[in-house]
Amino acid sequence: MKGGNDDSMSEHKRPQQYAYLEQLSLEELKGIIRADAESEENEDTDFIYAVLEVIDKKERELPGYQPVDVDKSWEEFQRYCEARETGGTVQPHAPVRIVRKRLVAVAAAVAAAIALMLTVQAAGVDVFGAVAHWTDDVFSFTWGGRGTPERPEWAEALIEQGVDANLIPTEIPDGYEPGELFIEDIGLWKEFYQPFRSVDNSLLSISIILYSSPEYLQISTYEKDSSLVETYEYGQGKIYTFSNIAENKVIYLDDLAEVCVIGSLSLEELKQILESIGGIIQ
Amino acid sequence: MKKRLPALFVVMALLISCCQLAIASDVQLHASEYLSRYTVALGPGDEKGEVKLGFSILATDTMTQLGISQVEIYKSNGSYVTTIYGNSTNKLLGSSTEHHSGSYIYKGVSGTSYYAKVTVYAKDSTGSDSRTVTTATAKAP
Repeated sequence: MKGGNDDSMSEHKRPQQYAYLEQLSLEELKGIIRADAESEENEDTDFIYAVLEVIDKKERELPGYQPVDVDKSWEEFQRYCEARETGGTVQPHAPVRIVRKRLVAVAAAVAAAIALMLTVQAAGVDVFGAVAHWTDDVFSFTWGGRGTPERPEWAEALIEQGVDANLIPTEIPDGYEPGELFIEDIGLWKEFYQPFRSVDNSLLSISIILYSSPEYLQISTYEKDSSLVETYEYGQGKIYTFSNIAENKVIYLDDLAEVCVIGSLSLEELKQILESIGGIIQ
Repeated sequence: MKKRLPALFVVMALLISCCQLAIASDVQLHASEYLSRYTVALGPGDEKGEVKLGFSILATDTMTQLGISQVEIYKSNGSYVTTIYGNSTNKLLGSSTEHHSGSYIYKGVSGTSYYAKVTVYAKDSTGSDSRTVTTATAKAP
């Protein structure tokens, strides 16, 4: 199942009447899916499938496109929903139109996902920033939020400097203003340092370190007090949390990339920031 | 013998208490009110005979001085070579910042492997703190 399967999409012949979908942007196409999910009216399932097909095709054409790890994405999605459910009263009762599809590809999975998304949102969590879409072989999340996706300037600056968007936290608490982005390419590693200051001048910092070799993974030392280190799997990497007297630290390690969020905020708040990596602020 | 037992218990309790204090004190020594994270490594330089010391120091807040106060260079066999002291001129030390990073080139002998004992340092109006880290060896090209 891993690695996806191009055949499921290519074998399905899209009706000519939907050819115009090719002219729409990715955001417009995803907007259609969102509108359909939120609508109580029955939409033409062929039309919805055609839209999903074009989305899939356009994403594959994007530079840097990488096949989705279906199992991992599905597990993340389930874990995310489970986490939200444990703290809320999520009931699968939202007004969801179940998409029935003659192809095995989309139907049940889309309905389940939309139901979950709606119910989770009903519980007070907006998960519509990400749209899950899949066929019988691939599953992935993409932006599906309202309006044009926008990243804050500091995040855009990081991306312009070559930082993978999937390593950039995007949920910065209100009241924190970004300072000057600092970039240092030492050769042994490349570091991006983005500080933030609150109105009371509290420091919140994000460091992204890209090591040039696994042998350099051991060269960073973080000061810590006697508090316990919490670790858990996240995405394709692992998160470590601990404190150093008055500051808390949350570190994400994925292969040769290390993302570190440090500040006087609580560990939960810092985890929330770090777990927003790859997201997009509206 | 019976009279000695209570006294023995008291002594043991005191010893255990002292041990716990020592352990707690030792753990706290690893925390810092000044230093937050330091990344230091020695690698081969770009030119013949050079090794490059890369460093990135993050403080808990703005420091009046932050960076590397001293670098001791050793050959891989442990023989001492030289000491470099950090200052604003060689850019090993920065001022009025919570983050300082950069690299320093040491010109040695081609084909020789070196390692360094690096002292990272942070200071503000309330005091200062330092740590010494030893790098892995790097061979000068």
